[in-house]
Amino acid sequence: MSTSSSSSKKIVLKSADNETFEIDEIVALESQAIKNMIEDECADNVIPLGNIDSKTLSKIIEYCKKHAESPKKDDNADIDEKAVEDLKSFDAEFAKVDMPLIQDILMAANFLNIDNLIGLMCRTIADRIKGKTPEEIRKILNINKNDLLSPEQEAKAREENSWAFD
Amino acid sequence: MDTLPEPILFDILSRLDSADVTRLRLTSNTFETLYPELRSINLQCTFKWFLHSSARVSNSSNSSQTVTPFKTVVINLISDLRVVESVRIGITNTLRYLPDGYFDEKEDDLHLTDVDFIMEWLPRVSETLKSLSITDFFIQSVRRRTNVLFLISVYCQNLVDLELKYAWLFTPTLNPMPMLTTLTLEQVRFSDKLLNELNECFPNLQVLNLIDISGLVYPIIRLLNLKSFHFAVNSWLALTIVTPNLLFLKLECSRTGKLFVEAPALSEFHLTLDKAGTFSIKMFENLNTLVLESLHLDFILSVFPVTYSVENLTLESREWTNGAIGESVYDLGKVFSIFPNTSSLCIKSRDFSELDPSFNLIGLKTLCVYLAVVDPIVIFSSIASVMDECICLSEVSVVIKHDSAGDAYQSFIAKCMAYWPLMKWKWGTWSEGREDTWLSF
Repeated sequence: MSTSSSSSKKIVLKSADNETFEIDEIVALESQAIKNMIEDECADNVIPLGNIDSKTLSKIIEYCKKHAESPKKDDNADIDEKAVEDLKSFDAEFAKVDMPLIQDILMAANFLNIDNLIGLMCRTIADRIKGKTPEEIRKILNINKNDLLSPEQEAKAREENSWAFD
Repeated sequence: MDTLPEPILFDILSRLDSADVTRLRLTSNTFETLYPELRSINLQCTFKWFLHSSARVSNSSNSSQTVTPFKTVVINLISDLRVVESVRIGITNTLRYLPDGYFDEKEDDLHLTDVDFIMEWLPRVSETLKSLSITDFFIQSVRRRTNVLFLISVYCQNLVDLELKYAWLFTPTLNPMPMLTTLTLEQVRFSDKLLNELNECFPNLQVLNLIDISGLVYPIIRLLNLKSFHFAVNSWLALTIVTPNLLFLKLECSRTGKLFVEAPALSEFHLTLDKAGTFSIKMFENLNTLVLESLHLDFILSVFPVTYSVENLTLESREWTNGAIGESVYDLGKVFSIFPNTSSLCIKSRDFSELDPSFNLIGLKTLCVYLAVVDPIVIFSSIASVMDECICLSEVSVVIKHDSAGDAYQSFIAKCMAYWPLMKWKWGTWSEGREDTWLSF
């Protein structure tokens, strides 16, 4: 091993389309799954992530980098308000992506076990469908045609729940 | 969407209210199949819903269509779920501000703490229910006394979090609820004048909020495990708080009688008080943050025991935002003799002139002043005297009223920054009901 100190130890992640990403270990530790692998010493130098493509993985690394840099809440009682604000606005910008990518990020974050990121993506989806009609929701979520309710089922549900529709 | 794992889909559903969830259920089999596994109900009666509810529509001539009554929907939603852990139902805020003509007092279709309605669903969810919140419709609940609290204490032995608003509670002997850790009562008429039942039946409360409660005369709080207590009740004759593990206390009262507080572990205390008859506070050994708000700060300061542990202090002259002076003129020298270790001070007052800045506080590191009236010359000389006295001061924030932030303020800022270039300055404006705005230079 040629790494000089433990603080700058590197981890290499390999995406499904064989792209490699070298990141600081501290960034990789944002993922509970990778953290467990490292702690159990079953992580090689390169961690293959066969179900995450490079576009999604680079997005996830962007998120983990930012969150790894930010001071953690439990570190200190008086955390810098500015740092909290800064992270909030980063999250808001980060979530401005299309629904297919959100779903890919969710799948990957679920696999890598990154709680904050799962929460952020779920909140984003919930915010986008609040107050929307079923038609609008189907469009927003790209609901699969095979997943639709039968017309009879839908008509019945609409009638029973007229209070939920304007 | 149907490829996402179920826990994630539940995570999304749990962030939506029941109206959104109902519309989402219609969009696909995935969500429709998932629904019965959801564990929470969160439903508000909107103004439109209120107008279109059957009782009111049948009375008016231009009836368009009737909508299922709110209570029926609540019962249906709950009966579709397998396990219910959280129920949050209420009446939208806007309905409280409607003129009288809209209401018929005899109606009880939105009386949500009504015992018959509660009994239709509470027994079914009682085993699993952890969190319950009911915001009643004041117009209908104000003349109807309910023993809903008794029912909850009988049925909901696993309840952890309870919130009741706008209700008239009749509290005969309650069943003990040892699991309950958080209780909020707001805009409630209460028959338990001394809060005896509350102390006996909720022995493990950690968070208690009593906001605008009427009917309290000699309230006593003796709760061993209480960590946070917010008490905002205007008239009572004597308030006794004995809470050995309390960390956070917020008291808001205008007319008060006798006040006794014994909370040795307290670390943060907000006190809004105009004048107390008898005021008795046992020494706080661990109090770090203190916020005092009053028209009579001089009075409160005269009875407050010397507290060495306070580092963060905020003094707010009540109604200072309207430019009131009241009897809020106080002597900062005296303040520092009571709280000698203050390192961060925030003053909210009409202007600096009401303070007597002849004090000597070497330990002060940060100072923040909120002002209602700005006379740049007065403030400048006040700041100059503060600068002379407080040699450790490293950060000063000045926040003035939004509409007085004109050219005079700008030149005042420039002057300060030129005089004390090494100081870390923060400049801002405030306006009522809004967050402060900070100016950048």
